[in-house]
Amino acid sequence: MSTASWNTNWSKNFFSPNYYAGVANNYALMPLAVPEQTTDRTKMFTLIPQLAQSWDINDTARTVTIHLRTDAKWDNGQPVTSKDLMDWFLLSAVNAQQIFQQDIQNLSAPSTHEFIVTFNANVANINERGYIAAMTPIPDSVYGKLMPAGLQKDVLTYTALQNTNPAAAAKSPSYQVIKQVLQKLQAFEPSTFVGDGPFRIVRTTTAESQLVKSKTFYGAAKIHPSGVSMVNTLSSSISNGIFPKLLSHRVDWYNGSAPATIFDRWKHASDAGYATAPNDIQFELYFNNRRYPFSMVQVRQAIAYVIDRKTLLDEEGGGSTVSKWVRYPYGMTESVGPIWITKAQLQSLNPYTHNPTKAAELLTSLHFVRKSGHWIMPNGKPFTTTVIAPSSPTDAVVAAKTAASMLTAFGISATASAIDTTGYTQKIEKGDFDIEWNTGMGGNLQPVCGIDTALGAPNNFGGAPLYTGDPGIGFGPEAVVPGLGKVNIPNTVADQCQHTNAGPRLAELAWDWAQLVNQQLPYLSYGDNYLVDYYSTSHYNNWPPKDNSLWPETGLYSASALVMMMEQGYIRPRG
Amino acid sequence: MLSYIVRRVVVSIVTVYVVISLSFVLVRLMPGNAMDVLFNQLLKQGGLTTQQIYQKIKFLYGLEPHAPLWQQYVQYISNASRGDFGQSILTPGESVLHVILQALPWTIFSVAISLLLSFFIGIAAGTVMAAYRKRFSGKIITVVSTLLSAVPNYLIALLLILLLADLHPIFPSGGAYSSTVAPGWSLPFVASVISHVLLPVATYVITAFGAWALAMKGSVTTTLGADYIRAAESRGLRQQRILQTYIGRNAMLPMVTALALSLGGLFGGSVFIETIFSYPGIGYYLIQAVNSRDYPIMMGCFILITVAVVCANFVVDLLYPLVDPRVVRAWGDRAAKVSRAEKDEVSATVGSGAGGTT
Repeated sequence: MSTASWNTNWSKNFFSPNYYAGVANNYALMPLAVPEQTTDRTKMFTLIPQLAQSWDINDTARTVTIHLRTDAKWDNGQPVTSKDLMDWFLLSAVNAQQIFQQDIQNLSAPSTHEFIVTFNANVANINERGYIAAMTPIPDSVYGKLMPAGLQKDVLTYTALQNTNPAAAAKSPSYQVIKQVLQKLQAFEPSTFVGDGPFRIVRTTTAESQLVKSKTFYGAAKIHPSGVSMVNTLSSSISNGIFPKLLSHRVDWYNGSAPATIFDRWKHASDAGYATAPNDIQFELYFNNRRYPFSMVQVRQAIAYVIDRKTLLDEEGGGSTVSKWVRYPYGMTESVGPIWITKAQLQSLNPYTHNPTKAAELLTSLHFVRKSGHWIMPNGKPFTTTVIAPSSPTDAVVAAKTAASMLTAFGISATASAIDTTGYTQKIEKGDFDIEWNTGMGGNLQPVCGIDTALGAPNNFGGAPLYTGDPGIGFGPEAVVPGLGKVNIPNTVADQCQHTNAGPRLAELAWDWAQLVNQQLPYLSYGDNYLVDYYSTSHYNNWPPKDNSLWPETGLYSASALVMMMEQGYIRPRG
Repeated sequence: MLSYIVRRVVVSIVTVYVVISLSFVLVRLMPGNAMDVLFNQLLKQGGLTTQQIYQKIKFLYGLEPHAPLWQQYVQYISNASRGDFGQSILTPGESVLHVILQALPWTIFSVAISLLLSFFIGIAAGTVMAAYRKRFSGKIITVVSTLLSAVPNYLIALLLILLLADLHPIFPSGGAYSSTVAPGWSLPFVASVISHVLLPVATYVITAFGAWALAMKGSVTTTLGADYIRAAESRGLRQQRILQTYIGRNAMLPMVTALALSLGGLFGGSVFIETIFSYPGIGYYLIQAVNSRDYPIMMGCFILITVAVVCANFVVDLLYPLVDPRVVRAWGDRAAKVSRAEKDEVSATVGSGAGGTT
């Protein structure tokens, strides 16, 4: 079976920044569980069991007890055990650290298929923390040799000390042990990839990856494709030509964005099926809130009235697009926002319907003057601006150009500028821009976390190691948030993202931030990204029906959704 | 001759040093840095919040080196002179040398074949263009060569992929070999390597042979006007013999020089072609390093290209006299003339000095 993968990395080391997650995760390496979005306000998501057969949560004792499947095996035939999960926790601590500093108090493996995590008292509603979904056992046969005896004690000792006395923690013997393990882990490159998933990775080149069906997978009987061949779509995304391969049915499944022309051709092609799925990304225009005149909320609002968000999204998509334009810009997508924001609340927000007259009134109220079709600022200078975008993807460049032309037509002389990705990131973090194209995670299942991607570090008064103190989009750092009063914006939104769980309080906070974003417009959301699942029935049929809940799942967890389809017996070779 | 060689060696070393130094400074003036790229990579991987990612980057890599630039420079030059080009920033634990040694065989393989093919095709075409420049065939070849040498190679690459890999899937569109074949000295692997290199080679040849052809045409045309050609014709020698022995050999001399110099450049690979075809050569990794601001990898590639070009120049300078003995005689004559002129000048000076002044 041939699919497409958004992946350019190549390392078999799970902890490497170059780990080929797109190839390995879910196909060859199983998580304990996969999140599924829910509209239940008492939960952010439900969990579909994978390697974990079940779990028990004890809020009083602050524990989560994982019961692993007893029939799960690694490619080398060894069983998946709680030791493999312990390895993941310990090496994650060595590698990332932050995970453990605030939340974990203890780890234990009382039996080969039972694992207990004890959380600190400040972690509320631990089933909401997403740990179960994030846990991924790694083979002890591969990674065990990197860990000295006693590493668990060192990790727990260090993290406990880090919470109370970071300076002492950095000098402790435990920290020295962790550093040594980290150096080994950084340099480690396994010769083969040992997984426990339905497929086994045979080979990866710069252009494609080859996986074959794993005989040791616990659900192998239900998996019908004999293998998966993945096309690397990102390494040379122009020329590898995923779309010609798709249209000629040399790719059986592709989940992603495509120009409207390709989508239209696919809809009319034979042996072609598709389903759409909401993604967690919103397309946004960020203002530099520290730079005159964008520091004035009326100017930002005026621009919101000038930008026709529907047209902008259509132009970006090359015509009609499955993505949906944002009717009410408040920082959350249509698939997440209505769960936390009531209809009445939503309708009380400002839709900023395209209205150049209203935009002109706002500018005039600030003593901007229009002369010969061009706006002049109160300081006497012409109102000019630049909309920057990364040079890839090209959609971003098109969006920047379209926005610039809309502003120019209104009388604000605007140009679009495409910058290479790395240079573009630096400009944003240093606050060296007027308006920038970007994406935010307004579709994050925890709505405040979606706001955090825009208003938290590093986008806003970032905590980035290299740009500490630089303003990013420069909103705040202190501002009045409805319902919260005057707060430090990046710190508060980050804290609430980390420590607020599902329930009435999250709904209140979501509404508070929604009002802020809608009224103050630190950024303007204009499109909710939807992905399309293109699937071919040339070689495989028995795809799930269109109303199957796994299709929307592909918007957020594409690979795991595809694997779950196979686990449920869907996707069979034709004939 | 010895002093000439020594001079050339010194100049070569100085050239390499200057290029390395300039590269060291210039790459660090580029906006952006490896930490930003790493951040985006980790963000795409998922599973960590932005705060966690920053903590991780800080823990793994520390902040930007605090040492002043000149100290970093001195350290780098010192290490490089001992063959230590550092480690990749974005692939911790992987040495620059390892990355280059992995990529180099693919580059040498593809670009060497491409270069030699385009050279020989270009030579043949250029000779025809010059010899039959008044005929229709000569004119057609001239127009085609001129047009193709002006077309960007990435455009040809995209067209070839569209026509021969996508619309008509005759060749693979990318990679160095198929992921279905185990690497090794086996027929399936060799066949896979060959099938994967054909389109990149075709791209290179199509866009490069025109330049060789035009250069050869110029060289042949110049040779055609030489007196010894007229003398050979007036002696009644066959046209074929004149073309091969008199015109061909003399016209080839500058082309051989150019080929030798080009061989030095082949170590840089073809950035566009390798990127478009995902061909894992030096050019492919250089582009990745530039995009991700992986300074050590960038510097390693620049050093490789510089040393290769300088060495190629040096070797050509040494070997050219073997190809064209007239160069040695001319050099000898020139040296003798200089020596005589110097002697005369000294004699005149001594004479006037001895005579004294009034």
